[in-house]
Formats: sequence, C-alpha cells, structure tokens
Amino acid sequence: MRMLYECTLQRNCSMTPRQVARAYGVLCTLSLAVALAFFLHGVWIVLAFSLLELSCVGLALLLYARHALDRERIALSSDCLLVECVQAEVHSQALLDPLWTRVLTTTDATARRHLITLESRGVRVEVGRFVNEAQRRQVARELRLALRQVSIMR
Amino acid sequence: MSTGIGNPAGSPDFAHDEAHAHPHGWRRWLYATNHKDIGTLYLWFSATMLMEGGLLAMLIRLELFQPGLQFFRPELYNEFVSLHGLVMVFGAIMPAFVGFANWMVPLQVGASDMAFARMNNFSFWLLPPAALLLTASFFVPGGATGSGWTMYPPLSLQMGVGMDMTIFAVHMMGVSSILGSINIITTILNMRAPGMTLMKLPMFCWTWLITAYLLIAVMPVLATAVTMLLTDRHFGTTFFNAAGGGDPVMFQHIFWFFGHPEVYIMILPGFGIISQVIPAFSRKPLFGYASMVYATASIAIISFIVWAHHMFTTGMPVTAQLFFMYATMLVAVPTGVKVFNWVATMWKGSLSFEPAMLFAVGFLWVFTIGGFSGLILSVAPIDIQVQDTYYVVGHFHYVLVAGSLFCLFSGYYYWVPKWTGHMVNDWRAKFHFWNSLVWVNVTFFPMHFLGLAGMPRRYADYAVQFTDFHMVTSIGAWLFGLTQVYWLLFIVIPNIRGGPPAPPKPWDGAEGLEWTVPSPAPFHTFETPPLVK
Repeated sequence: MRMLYECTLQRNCSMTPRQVARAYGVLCTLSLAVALAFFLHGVWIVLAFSLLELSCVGLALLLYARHALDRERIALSSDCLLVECVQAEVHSQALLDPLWTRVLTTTDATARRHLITLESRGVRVEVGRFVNEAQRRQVARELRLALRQVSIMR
Repeated sequence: MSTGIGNPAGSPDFAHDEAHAHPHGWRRWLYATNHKDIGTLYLWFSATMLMEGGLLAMLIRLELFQPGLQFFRPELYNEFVSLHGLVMVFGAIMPAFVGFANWMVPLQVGASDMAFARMNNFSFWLLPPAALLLTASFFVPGGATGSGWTMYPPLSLQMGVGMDMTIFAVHMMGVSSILGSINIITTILNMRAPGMTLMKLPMFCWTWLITAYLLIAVMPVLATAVTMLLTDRHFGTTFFNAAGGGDPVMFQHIFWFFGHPEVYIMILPGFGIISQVIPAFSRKPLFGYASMVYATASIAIISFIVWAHHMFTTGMPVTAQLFFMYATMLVAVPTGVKVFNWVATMWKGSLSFEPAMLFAVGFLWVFTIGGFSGLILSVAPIDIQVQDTYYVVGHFHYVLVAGSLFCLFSGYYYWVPKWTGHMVNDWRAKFHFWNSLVWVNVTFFPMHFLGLAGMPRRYADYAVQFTDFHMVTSIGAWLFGLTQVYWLLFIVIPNIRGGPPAPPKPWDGAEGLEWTVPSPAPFHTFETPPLVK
C-alpha cells in the first residue's frame, strides 16, 4: 500500500533506555564499591545511605526512560489513516476513514496545550503531545493537504 | 517528517517561546520550575552566603590583626572559623556551581529545561532553611559549632545544640546536592540535542557530569559521618567515643573519604568554565579536548584513593603513608595535562583580555601556586612538619579562593551578558580583577611563611613574632573582601538594572548553542531541539 503521508512525532531523547541503564550501572558500581568497602570495615550506614540514594537516582532515570521512546505515528494511505501512539510502552492505535477525517486545532488561547484533534465518524484522536506548538501547526497543515489529495484521488 | 529533530541551530522560533505565560511576583520564584529562574535563585543564594562567609572571614582577620585577644572570646573565634568554612563550602561555592549548571547546561546541550523541573525547585528550596539553621546556631545556648568545618570528634560530641543544627543543615544541603546531581546527570545524558554526541559536549557539561557522579558516590559517606555523630550525641552509640570502645580517628577516615572528593567537586566545574573561556578569548578550539575529558575523569577517580593525606599525623603504617603520598602526587599528572592544554590553547592564539579571560589567566597562575603547595604537602615528612599550620590554610585558600572563586568570576563575566542582556562595565570589571588578584596574593601568600614558621591554625592568639605577616594578611583580606562588595554593588546590581545591550554572541571567539539564543536568554529556549553538526 502506497503511503501518501507519514510522520513520526517524538520527544528528543539522546540515549536509549539501554544506554541509560549502562550509565546507571557505572554509577551504581562506583557508589556501591565505596559503600561495600565501608561495609566490610563495619560502617554499614554508608551502604544504607548509598542504597537509598541509588534508588532515588534509579527511580528518576526509570521515570525518564519509560517515556524516552514515546512517540506518535501518523500514516495516511488512500484508504485509511492510521494513528499509532506509544506512551510508556503502552501501544494504542486508531484507524480512521480519510474521506471523513477532519483536522481540528483549538482556537482557545487560554489552553495550556493545543493538541491536534483528528475526528472521523465520531472517533476523536489527539496527537502532537510530544512536539511544540510550531511543529503541531506544521503537522496539521501538511495533514490537511494530504487528506485533500486523497479526496481528489477518489 | 520526523519532528524528533527540529530547527537547525541559529533559526529557532523564540518569539513564540516568549509568548508562553509564566508566573510573576513572588510566585515566580517560590514555585519556579524554569531552569533559568532556579539558576538565578542559586546564584543569589550563593552570593548572599559568600557575603556571610566573607563577613566571618573579616571578623577572623580583625581578631588576628594583632597578637592577644582583642575582640572575641576564643570559643566565639572558633565558631567564626567553623561557620566560615561550612558557609563557604556548602553555601557559597557548591550552590554557585549548581547555579551555573542550572543556567548553562540546558542552554549548552540544547534542552528546553532540566529533566526534573519540580525536583529542581525542591533541591534549591532545601538550601535557605539549611543556611538559616547554620546562621541561627550562633544564637542558641552554647553557640554555633566550634569544631571546624570538619566537625571532628571528640569536640563535636561535646558541643551544644548548635552542633545538632549544623548536622541537620549538612544533611539538607547534602540532599539538595544529590537531587541537583540527579537532575544534571539525567539532563546531560538524555536531553542533548540531536547530533551532540558525548564527545561533542561542551567541557563545562563534561566536568559537571563527572562532578555529579562524584557527588552521588560520596554524599552517602558524608551523610553517614554526620548521622553517626548524631547518634553518638543523642542515641547512646559510641562510634567515635574511645571511652565506649569507639575510635575518633574513624570519623576522620569517613569524613575525608567524602572531604577529598569534595575538594574536586568544588574545582572540576571551575575547570569546565576555564575550558570554555580560554578557547573563546584565544579564538582557537580547546587544545586536546579528549585528553581534557580523560584528565577530568582521572582526577575524579584518583580523588577516591588519597583521603588519608589529610591524616598523616594521626598514626598510620609507613606503607600506608607511602601509598597515600604517591597517590596524591599522581593527581598532579592529569591536573598538569589540563594546565598544559590551557596554555597550549593560548599558544599562538589571537588573545584578547576581556574580564572573563583576565580571571581565567589569573586563575591559571594562582591555582598553579595552590597546586604546587599541594604537591609539597603530599610529601608525608613535610606534611607532618606543617600539619595544622597556616601553610595548609594558605594552600587550600589558593585552591578554593584563587581557584574556585576565580573560576566563578571568570564564568560570571563570560555568561552574564546571556543572563541579563547587558554588557558589564569593562573598567569596573578590570578594577575588580586586578584588586582581586593583588589582594588574594597579599592575603594568602604570607600564610605559607607563617605556617613554615610554626603558626598553628584555628588559634585566636599568637606569639608576637608572627605579627607582621598576620597584619599583612589581615590588610589583604579586608581589601579582598571590600573588592567583592564592590563587585556586588557596582558590577552585579548595575548590570541587572541596565547597561549596553548585549548581542546574542558578545564574544567573537565563543562557540556553543548558548550563543545562538538572544541575550538575555528568553524564558523558554530550545523547545525545538537544535541540530548539532
């Protein structure tokens, strides 16, 4: 099936979760080596504090890494508009009819985030949560153009 | 289209960024989550602490101007010395570098903010209560701790409630440092702009990344030391009480296992600043970038195996003395690599001496003096002779004042146009530099002679033969202190209020993403990560 329009919207993340795990491993090795040396000399409190601290670091990195690969993919072919979303490793997808899809952008100036709403036969999907306002405007413009081409082709 | 990567550097949509609403008035600061606001808070906090610590130093030098007890009881003098150290280390130098990191790390890596903005707010707001605890301890029964910033038992076990306040304050500042480190590590590792590989990181970010690793590794050791002190004082343990089977020397081992890496925590980010400033004003890329990174990491690693050079006189086998002596000397190798690289960067460069460069070059000279006196102190037989004398005081002030503080001033003059949007008055900044350089030497150089002649540290009184050098030191200290008041009142504040507008890149040799945004940097920057080629 030929794709008429395709885009992936994702946040910038310069390290994959595996690379982050490796960096965390180096940190743990360093900190635990210190803590174990003290533990072997009878000062066990260092180990307790180290474990507490490394748990905090691990939790922070985990929170970040869980969302490192979050993305949205919009793929338009002549007979369907596929919207895929991955958030914290939870996949969801929606198939919309391109002939009935409307691209809505909110005009509410007070709204904190102006996501793009795709609406087709009562199904509403929001996209653009990982990119900024300028990029959302660009995606909405490009998608409207592509949808118009589909209706002309049919 | 993949919008994971966005606008190329140099053409970002900052007009849009600036349109975002942000809180005003006191809420802006109390609820701050913007890295620039939090950076500003850190910098103001550390400037305040610098003034407090500086005032304590002035009082110390007032008492030491002449032999005999002029103004203060010896106990109060000890409190001044202890709080001067604690305030300067935990309140002034460390938060200042964190402030620089908050301002500059996201701008240098092309990130929109720090990774955990709310945690960033929390890590800052832990500091003012901790500082209040430290300062308020002067006014409680028994006064502040008089056991020095090192808090050695048995003296620290015998202090009043002021010691408990110090322990609590140190814990809070430690937590703040850990949270700050978590944020810095996550930001640098995960939020670099596309194309910015680790070996393209600006040196300031590299040095901070290594420092954050160091902090994470040693902060549990500090927490342990002060917790054990607390339980010895109030919960019946005798870790450091010889009468109960404990060992006060064990505290020294634990404390200095934290304390020596702490010295590098206070200087490595400064090395990063100097590694940014010297190439900018030499109009040449940094000589030996990779070797600078490896040298920084080497210094951090070696810092774990040198702690007992602070304890040569506490009694240890000769083999241990030799190990710690040679390990300490080893620090000179990567540090020498750095100094060589800075000098090589300047070699045949198109040098210009703006205030930032003056402080960088001044740092090179005075820090090298501190480094050499450190090398002399690393020799165990010499150290045993000058242990706890003014030679040691002179050495570490050359490293921390002429080292860390000069780095901070160099960084301030380099990046302040980006912070305030105004250029600094050049004449005033040069006046600040020359006075700082002269008076720092007048203050701390005679301390080496005092130490060699046998003047012990932490004494409120002294034998009459030390008078001349103490007088010179006191005069130098007051003038150095006044110079820093001048900096605050006649450079910092006027620069915030106005001055010639700064272009986005005020230094023609400067490189980096921070110079692609307008001056002052807009409230929101790099919402779309720039592309790094």
